[in-house]
Amino acid sequence: MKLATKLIILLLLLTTIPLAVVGYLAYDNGRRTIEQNVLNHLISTNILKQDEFDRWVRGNERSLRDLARRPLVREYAATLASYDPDYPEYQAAYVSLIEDHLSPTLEEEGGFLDLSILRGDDGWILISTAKNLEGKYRESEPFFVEGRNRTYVENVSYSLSLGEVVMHISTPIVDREGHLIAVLAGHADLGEMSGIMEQRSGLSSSEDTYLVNAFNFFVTEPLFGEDYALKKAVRTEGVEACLDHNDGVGFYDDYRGVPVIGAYRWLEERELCILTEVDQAEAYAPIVALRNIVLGIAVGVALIVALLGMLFAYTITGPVRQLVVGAEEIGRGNLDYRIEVGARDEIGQLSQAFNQMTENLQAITASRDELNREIAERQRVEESLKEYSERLEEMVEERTKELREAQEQLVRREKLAVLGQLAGGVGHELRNPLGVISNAVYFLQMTLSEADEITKEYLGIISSEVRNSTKIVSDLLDFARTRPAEREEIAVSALVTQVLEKQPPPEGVEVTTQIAPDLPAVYVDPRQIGQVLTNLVTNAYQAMPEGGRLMISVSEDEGIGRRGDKETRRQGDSLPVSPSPCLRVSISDTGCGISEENMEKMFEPLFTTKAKGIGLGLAVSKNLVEANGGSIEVEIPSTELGTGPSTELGTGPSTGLPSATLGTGRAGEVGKGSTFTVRLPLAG
Amino acid sequence: MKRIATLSTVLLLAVALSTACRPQEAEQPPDEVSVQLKWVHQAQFAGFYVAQERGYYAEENIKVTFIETGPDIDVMEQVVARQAEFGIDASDRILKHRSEGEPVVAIAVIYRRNPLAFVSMADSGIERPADFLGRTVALTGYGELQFAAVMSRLGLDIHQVEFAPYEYDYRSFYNGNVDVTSGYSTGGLIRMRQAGYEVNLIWPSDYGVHMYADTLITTDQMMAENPDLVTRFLRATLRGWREAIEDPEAAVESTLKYAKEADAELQTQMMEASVPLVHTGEDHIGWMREEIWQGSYNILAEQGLLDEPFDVEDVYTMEFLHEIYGGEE
Repeated sequence: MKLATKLIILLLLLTTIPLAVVGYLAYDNGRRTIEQNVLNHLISTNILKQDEFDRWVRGNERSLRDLARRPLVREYAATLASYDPDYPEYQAAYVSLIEDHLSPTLEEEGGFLDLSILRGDDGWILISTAKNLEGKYRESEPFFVEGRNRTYVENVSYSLSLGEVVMHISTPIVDREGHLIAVLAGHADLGEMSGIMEQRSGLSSSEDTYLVNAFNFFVTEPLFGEDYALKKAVRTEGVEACLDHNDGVGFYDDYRGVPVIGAYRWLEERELCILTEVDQAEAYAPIVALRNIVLGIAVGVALIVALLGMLFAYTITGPVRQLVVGAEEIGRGNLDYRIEVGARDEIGQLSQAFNQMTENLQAITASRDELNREIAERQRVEESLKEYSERLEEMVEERTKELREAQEQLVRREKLAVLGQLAGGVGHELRNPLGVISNAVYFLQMTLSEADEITKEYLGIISSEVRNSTKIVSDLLDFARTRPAEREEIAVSALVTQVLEKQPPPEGVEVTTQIAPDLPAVYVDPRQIGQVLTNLVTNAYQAMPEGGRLMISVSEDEGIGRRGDKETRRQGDSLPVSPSPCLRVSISDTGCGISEENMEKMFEPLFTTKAKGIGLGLAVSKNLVEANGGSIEVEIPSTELGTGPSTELGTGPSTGLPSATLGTGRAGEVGKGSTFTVRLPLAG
Repeated sequence: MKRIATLSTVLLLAVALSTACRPQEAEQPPDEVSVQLKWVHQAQFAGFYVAQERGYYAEENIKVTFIETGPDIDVMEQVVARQAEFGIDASDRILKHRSEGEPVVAIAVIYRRNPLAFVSMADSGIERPADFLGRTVALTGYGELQFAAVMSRLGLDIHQVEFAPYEYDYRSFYNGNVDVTSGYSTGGLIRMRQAGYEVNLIWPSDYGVHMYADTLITTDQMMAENPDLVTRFLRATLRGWREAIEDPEAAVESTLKYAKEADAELQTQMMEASVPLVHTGEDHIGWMREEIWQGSYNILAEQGLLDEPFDVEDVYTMEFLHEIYGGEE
């Protein structure tokens, strides 16, 4: 459970329990008091009503007795009882009784509806203030039977002839000797009796007093009933207890089924039960009000306490929650977090201590981080050192090899330079004799037209070999003394066409050209580059003695000096890196190809795989291309492709370029092939 | 442990016994009795219907059948012939039959006040029996006796009265050919009031003639052979009557389940008229007083209606009322 909840519950308990106890005690006390008051009131009401009822009966008895004792009444009654109505004495007595005695008593004393005098021996009504009763017999009525001997109060009963509930009080009229003359009977006014019962204290609107006879029937009208007298029986707890001749109080449902507080009293003399009841709802109204007030106060106090408790709890739990948030933040590594320190109480001190702790922690963590960084750095260094030490031998070996190669190359170049100078000199010297020989042979061939075949053959051989020698010599001279390039703007296509015209493909070789239209012009020496292309085409023809395909394609390239494949990197290493736009001229064949090891020496002078030639062609070509600001490289198609470069070209990026096919021969056997790529700088 | 075992055994036995006993009780068939009513089903017998409807007879293990009376049926004969175990009849008829040697006994009285009155028109000036002289009077069989008794009690010469045949619809009374007619407060008087007539009522009880009306009777044999059944029957009947008095509306409702003349208003008025007759404010319901029986006996004797004189205490018994009410007076 949360601290705040605990605090609130604690505070609520601390306040509401005493409140509840006090409230309950007050309520209980009030309830008892009110209950006791009500009960006392009801009991006293019963006693009062009984007294009043008794007084009313006694008063009636007394006035009846007084009347019966009047000498004149006795005299007249005796007259009426013994004379015939026709006698004048009877008439006089009758009138006097009515006018002087019965009627005045009835009017003055009250309490009776009518008064009658009954003949003592047979209960015949001699005279009555109610005329219609005269002449009737009441010989078996208790009030007559008993009234002959004493003053008698009859129980309430139903009179069939009167059609109502009646109660008679009677007393004997005796002569001087005590002999019974008649019975004086009064028909008690039950309205007065009911009036007594119905009188209310005014304190309560549901206070209800009524009489019940021994047979459970109402005798007077209850407050909430009409025409109940002797018609309705009542069997409530109070009545039953009362009819067992008890006095007491009780809480029970009354004749309406409404819960009441009732007091009952058994009137032994009258054989009646008097009950006074008041609705519990009304009686308890003040208690309910008290309870409501107590509850209201309790609820109000509880609310206030809950509110205060919440505030109080918040002042404690607020900072605590802040501490929790702070701890979580720091747990996440946010050491910059600080808690707001508000109060100066223990919680404030705790917050302060927390902040101090965070600060210390931050300091410690900072130095640790630095240490860690340093350690990591050192470890990295250590690792690279270790790697170096492991690879040192290898590296030295590699470097040594490189150095040796460089040295060898240097030596070779030196040799070549010397050789070049020598060859140049020799060549220059040999050119003239060779020219002379050539002229001589030409002369002989012209003059010896009728010579035998053998002679002609030998002359041909001499002529041919002289040409070869001239070529070798001019190559040597070219190699030794490269002329400065005379560069001009020229279309590559023109160069290619020119070369192919001069060097028609031998039988079996098919030539294809792919030259994109609108290619920009190149800025080169046309003679020199033409020589290069001628060299390359010638090489290609020679590589395909059995026939094949030659493909010349020209396309734009992003730049000279672009690094090529691994195979071409060696050559590229020594080339000036100048990534400027250029044209790329590829010459591919399907010839025997070039072995891996030969590729390295391809462009070196005096290297050749051919039976004829001294191996200066490619070296010269390289010199010329470079002199024109271009580059040259060779590649062999990767073995994975398995087919010639033409295949690659056919599927390559140059697809779709306009193509032309030269030559008529059938395409020969397809070899491994090789591709020479020449990059030429663009004009401008 | 042993004690628990013993206890549970006893408990089990008790349960077994109690369950074994119950069916035996249920097996005992209810006693079947018939009640010969004095007239057709109407509120006059409301207490019986209430007892039946609320199962008070069943509680006493009695199965009760009510038999209406027709013109050919005589209550006394039925009871004496044991066609019915109980009957309801007027007290004077019981006295008469008893004097004839028939073994009929009253065990309780239902109408303790006699509903019979002599009726004259309010403007006729006939207010007391002396006024009957020289007038035309129409009486029922029950009325004749009380009329004679009243006249005799007052010393009036009954020969100065002219008698006319009794009419149930009071036609001659309404048109003035008959000056006085007998009528029941529980019957004819209601109809007269409904017809809008204002009348004077001359009650025999005002002139010393007190006779019980509806009385519950049985036979000497029944009392001797099965007093327990009589007690149970009477207890249930009085309970029914008590509740009928306390709640007349419910009593009328019960009555309407039996009455052929299902006129709720008529039955209600009859019930209202019956209440003060059954419960008078004196004594318990059903209670009988010796002086009333004696007075009735005397009247019948005076009128020469008794064959043989007999002890009046033979004609009624308080035995069962005492048993039911615990001997209270």
